Amino acid sequence: MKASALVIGGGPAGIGAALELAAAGIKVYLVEKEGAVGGWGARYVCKATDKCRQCSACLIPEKIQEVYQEPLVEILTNTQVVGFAEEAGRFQVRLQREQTLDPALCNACGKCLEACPRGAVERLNPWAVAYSIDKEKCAVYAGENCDLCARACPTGAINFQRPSASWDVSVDLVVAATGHQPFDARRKYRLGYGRFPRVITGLELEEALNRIEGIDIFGDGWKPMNVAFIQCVGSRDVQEGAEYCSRVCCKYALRLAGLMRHREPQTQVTFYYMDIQTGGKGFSEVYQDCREHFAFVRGIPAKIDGSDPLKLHLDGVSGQSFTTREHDLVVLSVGITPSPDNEEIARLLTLNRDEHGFLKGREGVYVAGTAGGPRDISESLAHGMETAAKAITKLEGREG
Amino acid sequence: MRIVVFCCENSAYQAARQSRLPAEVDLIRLPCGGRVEVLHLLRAFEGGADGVLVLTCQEDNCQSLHGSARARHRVEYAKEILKEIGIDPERLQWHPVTSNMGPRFQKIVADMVEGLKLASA
Amino acid sequence: MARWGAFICDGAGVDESSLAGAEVVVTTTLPPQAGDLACKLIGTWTRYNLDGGILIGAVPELVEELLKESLRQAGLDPFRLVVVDLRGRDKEGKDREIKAALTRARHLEPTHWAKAKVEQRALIIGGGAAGLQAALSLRQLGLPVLIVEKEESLGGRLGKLDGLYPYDVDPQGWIKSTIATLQEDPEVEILTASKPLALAGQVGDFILEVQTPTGAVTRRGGAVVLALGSKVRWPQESGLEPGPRVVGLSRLDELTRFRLRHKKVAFLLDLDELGSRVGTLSALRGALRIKDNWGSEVHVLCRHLKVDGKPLESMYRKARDMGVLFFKYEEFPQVTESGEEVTLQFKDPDLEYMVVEEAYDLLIVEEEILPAGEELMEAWSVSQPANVRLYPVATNRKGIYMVGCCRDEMDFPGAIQDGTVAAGEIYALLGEGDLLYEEDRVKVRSEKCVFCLTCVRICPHGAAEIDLVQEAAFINPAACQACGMCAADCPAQAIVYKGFDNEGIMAQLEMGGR
Repeated sequence: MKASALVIGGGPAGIGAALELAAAGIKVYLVEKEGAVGGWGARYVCKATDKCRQCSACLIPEKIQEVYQEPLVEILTNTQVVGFAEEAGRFQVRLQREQTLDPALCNACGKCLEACPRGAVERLNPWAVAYSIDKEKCAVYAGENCDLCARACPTGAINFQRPSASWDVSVDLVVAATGHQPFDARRKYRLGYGRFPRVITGLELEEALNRIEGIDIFGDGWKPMNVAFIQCVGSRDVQEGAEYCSRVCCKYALRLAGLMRHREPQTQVTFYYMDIQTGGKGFSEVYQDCREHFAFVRGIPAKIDGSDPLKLHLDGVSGQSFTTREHDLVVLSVGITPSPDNEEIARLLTLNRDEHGFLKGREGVYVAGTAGGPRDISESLAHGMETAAKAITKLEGREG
Repeated sequence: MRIVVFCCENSAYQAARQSRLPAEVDLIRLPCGGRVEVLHLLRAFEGGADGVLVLTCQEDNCQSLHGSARARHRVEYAKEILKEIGIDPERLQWHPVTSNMGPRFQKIVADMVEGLKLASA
Repeated sequence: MARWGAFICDGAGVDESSLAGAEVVVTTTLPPQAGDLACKLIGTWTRYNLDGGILIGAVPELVEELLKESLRQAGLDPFRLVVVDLRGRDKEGKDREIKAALTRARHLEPTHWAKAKVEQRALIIGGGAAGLQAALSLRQLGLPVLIVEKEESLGGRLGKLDGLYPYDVDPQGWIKSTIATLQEDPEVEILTASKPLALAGQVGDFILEVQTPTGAVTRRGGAVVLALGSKVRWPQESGLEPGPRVVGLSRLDELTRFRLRHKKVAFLLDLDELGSRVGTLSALRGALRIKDNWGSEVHVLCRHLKVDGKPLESMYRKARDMGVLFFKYEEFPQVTESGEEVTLQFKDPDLEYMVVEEAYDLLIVEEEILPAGEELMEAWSVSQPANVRLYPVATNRKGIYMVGCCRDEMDFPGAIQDGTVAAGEIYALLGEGDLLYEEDRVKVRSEKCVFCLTCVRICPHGAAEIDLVQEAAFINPAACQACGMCAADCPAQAIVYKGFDNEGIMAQLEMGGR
């Protein structure tokens, strides 16, 4: 089949779709707005204890490698879709590539990393072939004069004067795998995230446990002994307009708690929850293990005091003899919310959004992964594969 | 000091590539943990290795289902032999290391180096 | 004498003197840029007609893969590129590393690729939603299919249910129209009331024997889809006995078809601590139906309300709006049956652990849903443990896929996803008409084989076969996934694994290096 496809987003769903499309002989442009493919999943930790907990985080490097090896997939990082037109069943797409740091020239030697005083040059994940520049930290983007990294680079990969490139591609189908946004825990002011340093999100815990091999998560030698996980932060929440279950939080929270206990057997954990969601093959074992070792309290704390230890107020949580509880670390299990870019993407690709703001696909433009609703890593991969298979069937049907 | 690390290329080898490897470390890449033989482990010691690590996938996510488990069994078996011939069996270890666990790989190797230094002191 | 070239990366900190005495025909330094690097590598390789190359230096990890891909595209053997990683090595270490690489290179032998014609047809066992979707997608992709169904008609468990699913697509309507489409299609063979007897062959050419009502038939196909469905088991451990007042969730449709006017009905879920998403889905659907049909008072008792799927939260809210009451329990309720009533007594954590006692005239109990077809899987050496690498539809054997409820608890969209994904995988496998595989990666030297069949027993991929003529084992190269387990276990050392044979590993051990 001599067809071509555009996949927007290089997370698990995008990679899954790209690989499946390429396997059917379709040329794929895999567009990623960040400097490296992998998505959120590339930051997650392996949650295995003595046993594999099936979090699928280890599949990400393997899939990245696979997609790099696939000759039919052209990976375009730092690239965004800026124009889109439909013509006789084909799509004319205008791509724009930020070229300050040219990944084709970067050989990840690390000299720029050392040169930058602001830590603005980063390697997004260990499998990134090139570095990327964090615009929020970089002095140049703040309007200052600085070219330390560019001068340090031996291959000339960094050049702030290099204009961005834009060009058109013509494709037969589009897969939008643009991902999601983790719920902004700051919105739950009373839970103290952003105000109290020992109230962190599940995502931050993931990243911290991924960086290190113990549970010294703040890197200052302090070890949490008595941890609270608060579930459904930004999920099943009418006030936040997130009247849905995010599907992943129970699983990642239980796995993370298990991992902390595996690394430091003294760690005590309490879950504050509404209902534990335990679907999926092999997960019941994880839950049973947690049930044995951890405390479960049915109810979500209304408020947290920033004292040391942190004080959780459980007013209105029924059936408990206590109204407050103390913990030295609170982990907020933040849910999956629609990406803030969805509105723009929907406008650009003429897609509809569902009642929560997730994208809905249409003829020729498919939606894969968390762009369409909450999914975990393996579900996103599978959904990418399904979406690609659907698209291929449609295409074959059209030609046949 | 010399440490030989047998790595499954699906997991531990990927982790090794993200890690800073100490100079003492030699890597042997295997297609799957199941490929390792007791003979290889013993030959490594015979060839002057002070420590040998067999790092494979988690047992439940081995691409070949039982590869990691077989690697672990062989390590256990080889440890018995080491005991009989008077080599500290702790010099041979099996650990699961998944592809995204560079820090774990590094720690296992560092622990081995540390342990050997203590043993020789 | 093999012709090897050495390629030194810019920034590797190695000069050509490190290669003094090395048996290489050319030594060259590569530019730092990945793209140029590939050009120069391939250029030099072709110009000097090299048998292989040693890449020395500080290449970022993925560049290695890119280079191998470039070599493959240029028609060169990527297997013969040995990469030397010098990070963290001092001068002496670097020299040792390079020597080790040369040793490694000497033990490399190229493998040969072969192409085999495949049977461009899929054999689908099971005509439920997942099997039907696989068939439908495969037909749209132009591949003929065979569907084997044990029942008299297609449709599976979902086909027997009555509507009321709030999905985008109505499952019952979908099943009817899909069956009609497939029945009209001359490239679809449907064998109903039939039982698969035996499966022989390997990926690309499976041979399936089927018992049909009119006798046994044989069909060939390049891939197999197992859509074996599920079976329900009564939760005996609960102490509950099925009877006129206590029925299983799977009998719900049967019941709601009659106009039995039960006044007060309870659903009891999560009997085994966890329960399932599908159980909750069926119960919510049942609760809504009973409200609609009978106008009864409906209670749902569960440990955890499963809402982690698209229609669940909205169904739950709808049920609540219609007046269905939801209770939670932690300790299993006390159940007493007397005459016309079943009484449940339990403590609800959401009601301050207050004791709730309610009498019902019908108690509907969630059963355990178990995968069906285990005997078949065992007989065919197919397995799909909870292993992320097999997710979602792959099995231990190449060319055999598992879809639907036989692999995990599943709702309708899940079954559709599985069927579609399996079809996509099969299209990638069979669509071209031939299968490309490494002919001689793992091989049995039949003269050394003592016919102990260790490999046949342990091969996790079902690739080791018995060659009765040679009286030796045979590793089917198309089905082999090159794990090397057989080579490690063969007591006669009759199995060679190119690239990872004992000699190579031993030489590497001797030389050190990475």
